[in-house]
Parts: sequence; structure tokens; C-alpha cells
Amino acid sequence: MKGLALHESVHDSQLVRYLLGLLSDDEAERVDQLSISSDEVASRLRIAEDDLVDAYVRGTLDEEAAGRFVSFYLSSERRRQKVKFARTFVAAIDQRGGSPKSLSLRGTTIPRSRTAWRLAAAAAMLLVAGLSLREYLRLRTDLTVAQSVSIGLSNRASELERQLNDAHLADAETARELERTRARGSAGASSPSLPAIALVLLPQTRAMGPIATIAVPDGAHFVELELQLESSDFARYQAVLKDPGTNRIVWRRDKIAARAGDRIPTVALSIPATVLKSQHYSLELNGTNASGESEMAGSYVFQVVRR
Amino acid sequence: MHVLIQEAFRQEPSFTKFAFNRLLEWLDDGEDSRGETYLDMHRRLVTYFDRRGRPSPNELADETLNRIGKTLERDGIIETTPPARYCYVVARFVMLEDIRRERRQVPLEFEPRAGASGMPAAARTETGDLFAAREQRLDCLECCLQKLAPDQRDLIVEYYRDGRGQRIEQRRDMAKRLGITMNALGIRACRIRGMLEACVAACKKER
Repeated sequence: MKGLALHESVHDSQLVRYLLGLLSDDEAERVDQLSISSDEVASRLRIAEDDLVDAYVRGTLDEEAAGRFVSFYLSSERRRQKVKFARTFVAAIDQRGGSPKSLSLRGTTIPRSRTAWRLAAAAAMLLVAGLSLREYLRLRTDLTVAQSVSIGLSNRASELERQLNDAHLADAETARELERTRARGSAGASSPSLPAIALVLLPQTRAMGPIATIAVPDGAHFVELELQLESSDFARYQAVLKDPGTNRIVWRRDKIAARAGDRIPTVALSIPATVLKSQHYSLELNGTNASGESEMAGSYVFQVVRR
Repeated sequence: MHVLIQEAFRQEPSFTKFAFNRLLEWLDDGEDSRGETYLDMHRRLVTYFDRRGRPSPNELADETLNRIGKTLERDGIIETTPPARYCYVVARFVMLEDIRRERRQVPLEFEPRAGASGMPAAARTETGDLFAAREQRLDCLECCLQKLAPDQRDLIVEYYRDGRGQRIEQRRDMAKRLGITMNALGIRACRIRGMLEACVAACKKER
């Protein structure tokens, strides 16, 4: 996501007035838009909201602001929950008098060793998630044959958030423990629902080799390809899929970042299966350098067989 | 109560994992955020719908991203850039539709909203239940705080402590010491606080 242009700047005081419902409709709509489309405004709004809630909880808002806070801000259940959390959180912070080393709510810490936490977190991640988000997101680029798996709409964000939180809360040692557990061949780390087949395409050379073929069953939604690069010279790439018979562009994707990989840099693509027919295809990869100029970075050929 | 909205979402065809992956890639716009951008956008949308007084902000955020995912699945590409701008356009349509839907239906029951006419729950006299709930929150927060890395814990305690009028200076000093901008420090602190909040909410559900 991106920042905002200068003409789109919003003052901190405006953000507070926005949170208290004190802006005009036009101004509020402008902040609404920027709160979604601008990274900078979105983060500043979040910071301003936390500070406003803390000020209310600590009783440091002036009378007018406190009144607006009660009549406007607290009119939503989500925001009331934020205030509830802030009451507990601020009490915990203030009770310590700003001494971070001894943060505990009742003066005693739960007697758990760090190692126990790490192992528990690692086990929980393996058992509950089956597969960590990191592993899942890595594997998704290795898929060649799309398989429809339903994801419940209402659970999608919360599940992803839960997994990310687990990953964040577990420190680097936990991650290493997880890797060691996986390396030992833990059965829980592999999921039968994720095909571990990859179609890796190599750049074309003068020597003619067999053409890579991919079988695409009916009902498949996407075909995932991993293009190996000879070198990673560009910040961004553009992929252009062509029908070599007519030279017509059938699909294109811009602004793709290369991945470092273990040894060889690669570019991962996800092509909608609906654009693919049973025939040969050529795939051109163009790199964009720092000055925005584009040049050919590689070309690939493959054959699709629809089933 | 907006039963029809809930019903409408239940009738939506399911979203495939592959459409979801495509949506993640599109939102990342060339960077691999490992799902962070999706979560950030979902959070922004929920906050937007909530601020506009919509009663089901989570469902509307899901609906917005679901529509974008389906467009990507169908067309393969969305020309509007950056993706966040397109998200706002779709979100606005989703909100207007939700408002229209609300006007067409009769509320099943009267649900008074806290605010001008009533005190918020947090300000009411603490009953036994509320006391128990607060104790539970304290237990959960304690548990979640222990899960943070020590440097994360230090950061939020220092960042959010009562500055007594010196807060901006304190944070400026802190940012200088860490070698980052004030905004970057704020984002970092907000993220850790968000993680704690989510952890406490999950902990409360489990108990």
C-alpha cells in the first residue's frame, strides 16, 4: 500500500475531531477515504485513536471532548470493547510507574520458563494450525493444480490474524524450534490438502529440451508457476503470457517482486486457469530497473493440457 | 438487528483458497507481506464501517474483500491502482447497499444504543459480573503480556505510560534512542498493542 500526496495531508487535530464525530460530512468523507487508501493516515489514525482512548480512561480529556467521547465514540460495541481493553491495559502500565522490567499486574509473574513457553507455542502452532502461516504462504506458490477449498468468510480474517499473532508472539527461538520439529519429520507439519507439486520453469536456452507440460483439470481456478531467473537484477518484473501462434497477449501481470530462494532467484505467478487452453504458451519476463526502464529478463515456454 | 444481512452473507457462494491467494498477492502489490497487508486492510475496513455506524462491520469488511477477490478471479486483473484506493471504492458501494438494505427492513427488536441516552457499560456501577469480567481480563492480559518478547514489553510500557504532559517529548526521545521516526515508533507500539488486544480477546473466548 502507498503513502499520500501532499495535497491529501491531514492534521493530527483533524484526526481527533474525526474520531469524535466533529468534522463536517465532506471533511469526514475525505478522512474516511484516506483512512483506507493512505498508509500514513491509516497508521496515524490508529495511533491517535489509542491515545484518545487512553486519555479518556485516564480522565485527562477536557469536559467537551469527554462528552463527545461518551455520546459519539462509545456508541459502537467495537469501540466500547477498545475502551474496556484500555482500562485494563492502562492500569497495568500505570501500576508499574513506567518500569518496564517488572511488568506484572499483581506483582507476581506466572512461573513459566521461557523454554516452556517456546515449546508450548511451537506445539500449539503445529497442533492447532497444522501448518504455520509462513509455511502455508510459502507452499501456496508451489501449487500447480488448483484445488477448490472453501474458506468460511467470517472466519478468514480472524483465523489469519490468530495465526499471525501466534507467529509474532513466538520469538525467534520458537521459530527455530518449529523448524527443528519439522526437520525431524513431524507428521503434523504436512497437510494432505495442499498438493506439494511444483511446476518450475527454466529460462529458454539455445539447446532445445523437452517442453514443460502442465495438466489443468476442469474446475481449477489458478495455475501457479515458479520462474527461475538467471540473476536477480531488477526490483520489479512484468510477466506477459502470449499465444505463440498469433502473438496475442492472453494475460499480463505487473509489479512482481523476485524471491531470493535458497540459491536461485525466482518469480512466482498465479495465472487464472480460465485464460488457458490446450496449446503451447510463451511467457516473457521483463525487468524494470531503478530508472523505470524495462528490458527482457527471460523467456519461458510451456504446454497446457486441459482435462 | 439485521437478520437479512446475516442471511445474505450465508447465501454467498464460498470463496476459494486460490481466489484468496490471488487477493493476497494483489493487495501486496509486488511485495510479499505474508498476509500482513490483508489483515491491515481488513482492519481498516472494519474501522471504516464501524465509524460509519454500520452494525456488522466485520461482515461488511469480509464482503468488500470477497467482492474484490471474485473480480480478480473472474477478470484476472484490476486496473485501478493502488489496490487500497480500489478497496475504498468497493467499500463505499458495500456501505451504501447496506444502508439501503437497512431502510427496507423493520427492526425485530428495539436495541437501545449506549450514548446520549444511557451510560456506557464501562461507566456503570460494577456488579459482580462486571467485576468477574474485569478479573478475567486482567488474568488474560497478564498471560498475554508474558508471551511478548522482553523488548516488545519494554517498548509498549515506555510508549504508553502516563507522560503527565511530557508524552510527546518522551516519545521523541524514545524514537531517537531506537533510531527510528516517531511515526515508525507509533506504528510499532500500535501493532504490539493490537496483538495484545487480539490475544486478550481470544483468551476470554477460551475461558
